[in-house]
Amino acid sequence: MALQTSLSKIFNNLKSGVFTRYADNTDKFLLDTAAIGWMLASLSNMTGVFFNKKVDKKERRYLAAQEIADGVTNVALFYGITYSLIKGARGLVDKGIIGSKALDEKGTMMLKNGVGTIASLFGAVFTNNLITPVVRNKFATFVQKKTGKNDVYAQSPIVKPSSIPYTPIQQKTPISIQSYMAFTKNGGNMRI
Amino acid sequence: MKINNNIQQLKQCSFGSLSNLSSRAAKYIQDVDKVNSVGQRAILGVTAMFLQPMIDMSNKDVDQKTRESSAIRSIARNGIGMLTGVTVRAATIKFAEKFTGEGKFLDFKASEKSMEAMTKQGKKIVKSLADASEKQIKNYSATMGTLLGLCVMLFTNFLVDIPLINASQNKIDNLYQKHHMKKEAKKNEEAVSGSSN
Repeated sequence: MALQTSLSKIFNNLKSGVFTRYADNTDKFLLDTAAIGWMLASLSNMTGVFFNKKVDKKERRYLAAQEIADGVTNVALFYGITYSLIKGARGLVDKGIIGSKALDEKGTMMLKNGVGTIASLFGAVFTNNLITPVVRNKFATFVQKKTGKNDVYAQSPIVKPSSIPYTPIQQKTPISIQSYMAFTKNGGNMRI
Repeated sequence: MKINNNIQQLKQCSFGSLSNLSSRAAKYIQDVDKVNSVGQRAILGVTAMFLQPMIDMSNKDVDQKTRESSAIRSIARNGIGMLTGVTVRAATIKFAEKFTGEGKFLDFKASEKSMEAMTKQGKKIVKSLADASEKQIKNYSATMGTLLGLCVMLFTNFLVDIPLINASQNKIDNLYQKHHMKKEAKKNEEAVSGSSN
């Protein structure tokens, strides 16, 4: 009974918190849910690695670490860039650079939300569709040159984990091309 | 006369002076916030289907065959990902809307922390959905629906997206290989007939 009460309280607080944060801020809602989507996608990709029998057991650790690094890089890039754009766009309304004399205070708040939403959409497209694929291609090319197999590029959508360096153990035991292909074939870098 | 009217309309919604937008231009910008996560996913998916293949095709570090193959796969991956993402989000938002309203499952009693935050932001205190505006309720149900959708997509990612993407990639691979072999055979034929002449 006590558990039920506390769970119900947690759920109520969650609903109340969601309302307070997002009911008037579409831009923040789009930013946060997209970032959560990225994180969940990385989590499911990582789970996929652990249960992928086609990948050698030793190499799963390497791929899972890479998947975590991929997720961290993508979310950090997306959140950092898009958040800055939203903040900057909202600031333009605050400073009067974007505005309208025809609007009252409520109207200006709505304009601010609209401008923020445009910035949020632009940031999402810019980071997801331009920055990430370029980084991904650079890494795929690097793998291709290392392995000497052209097809790796075509089937490797994994981003180089620039923020997390490889450990010496991973460098000593590079992943085999068969395992790499089997892993990427199962839809790595999926987006939710 | 019609042209003059059109010019007049264009002037009315001019974005030229950003510091003093016309009321129509301001209205357009205000209405952008009607875009929910379904619209966002669709925008992301469509732009990805155009931009990512272009990026793949411009990668000069790999050969032409790899570039083409990669671009085709980007289209398949993004197209299927978008279809699932948009469908699941739209369904879960619709589902959440049914449970949002006064006294319904997603109604709440504002916590002290939330009320403090509303006061700090200078907003009208909303103690429950009974005090909320129509727009706030719509945004709230869209958020709850999207959060539910993200949980659902953890499963559809494995059960729908990955099998479909793999199947379509294999199909595309086969078609591409056949096309490439035909092209090569034609080239060889031309070379042979050229040398015999």
